[in-house]
Amino acid sequence: MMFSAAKGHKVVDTSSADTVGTVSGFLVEPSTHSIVALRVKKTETGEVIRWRDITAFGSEAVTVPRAGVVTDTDAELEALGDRARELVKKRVLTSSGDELGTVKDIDFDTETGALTTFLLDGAPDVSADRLIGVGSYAVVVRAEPHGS
Amino acid sequence: MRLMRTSEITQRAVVTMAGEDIAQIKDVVYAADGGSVSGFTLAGRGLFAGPLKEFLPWAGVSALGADAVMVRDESVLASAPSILEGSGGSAGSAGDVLGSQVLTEEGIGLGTVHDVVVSVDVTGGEYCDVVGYEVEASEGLGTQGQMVLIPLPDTMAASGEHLMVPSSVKDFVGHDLAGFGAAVDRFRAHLEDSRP
Amino acid sequence: MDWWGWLILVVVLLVVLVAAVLVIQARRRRGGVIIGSKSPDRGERR
Repeated sequence: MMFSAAKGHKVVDTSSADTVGTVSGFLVEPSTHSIVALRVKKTETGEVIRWRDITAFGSEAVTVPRAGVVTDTDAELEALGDRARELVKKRVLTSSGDELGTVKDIDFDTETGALTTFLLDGAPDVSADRLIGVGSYAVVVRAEPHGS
Repeated sequence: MRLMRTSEITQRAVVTMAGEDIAQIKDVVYAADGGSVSGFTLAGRGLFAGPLKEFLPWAGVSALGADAVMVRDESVLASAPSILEGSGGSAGSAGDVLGSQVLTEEGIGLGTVHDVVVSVDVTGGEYCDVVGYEVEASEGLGTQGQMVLIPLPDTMAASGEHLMVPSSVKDFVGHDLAGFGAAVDRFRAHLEDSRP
Repeated sequence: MDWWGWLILVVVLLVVLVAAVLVIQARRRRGGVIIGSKSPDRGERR
């Protein structure tokens, strides 16, 4: 699924069938290139849901076992979300210092939360396993080896 | 191996592998003997930022690319070596090569330095050497006013005001960066051959 | 001069001050190519 499609998904508590919030963003751990938590808004308690706490990420909504999985950010998540904020529209730099373009959208696996592909504006796709870091200035990816 | 003008390198962002722009390049510092780039002085990012105390040694550079200078993290920055503190480091002050006159050993002026050409190893880990100057030619070169590329030998004498080059350099002057690498190699081979 | 005359003066002075700082800092960030007298330590690699 694409970040653009997943953003705005309702988060539904399966035990009560209530909507506990809406997905507003994603916190990504660069070393595993995976979503570690969802940022949620319009909730009663807290602002993030850890990926491991969700039941399923479906095409229409995200299901969670109980409303209590919505928590406040802790130090670990703060470090991932603070500078990184929005991945989409961030410039993409290779480890060789060349700019490839900006992130247009990101494809991820709804079962594991792992990012699969970065879709770039005006440049070829970048496989997410090339991700090295996400910062306030750029998304850094491993450079491709030079041809001939 | 890639040739670049130092004017493309100054003001370029210094970015960590974590994606943070921690500084921008201010001056390119090179050794007078051998022409190898020892590192860069830095300036802060942002409208109100000024020069930084820290120095980026060449050994700390992971890659010098078309759009950014990559470093592993902030720990590669060092405090500025004392050789730089006296020179001030801003354009036009003593020690800055830009605007200096290029002289042959016979005392003929070839022009004033408008830009400097460096040869960079693509991954940045191996070397970065000054290989030529782009000068605004004087009559000594016969092409008054034009921008030309002058190759440099491996060893040369330089001070902030006068840069000495062998007279034979006139036969290896280039006009664009594309063929200049070959001109530098030919010039240095010529110097080797003519060594007594 | 009445109070809004002073206000305009202060605003203009502030704008000039900010513009001056922007220009001065931009000049101080500009760099060149400097000759350092020491040869770098070529063998060092992190």
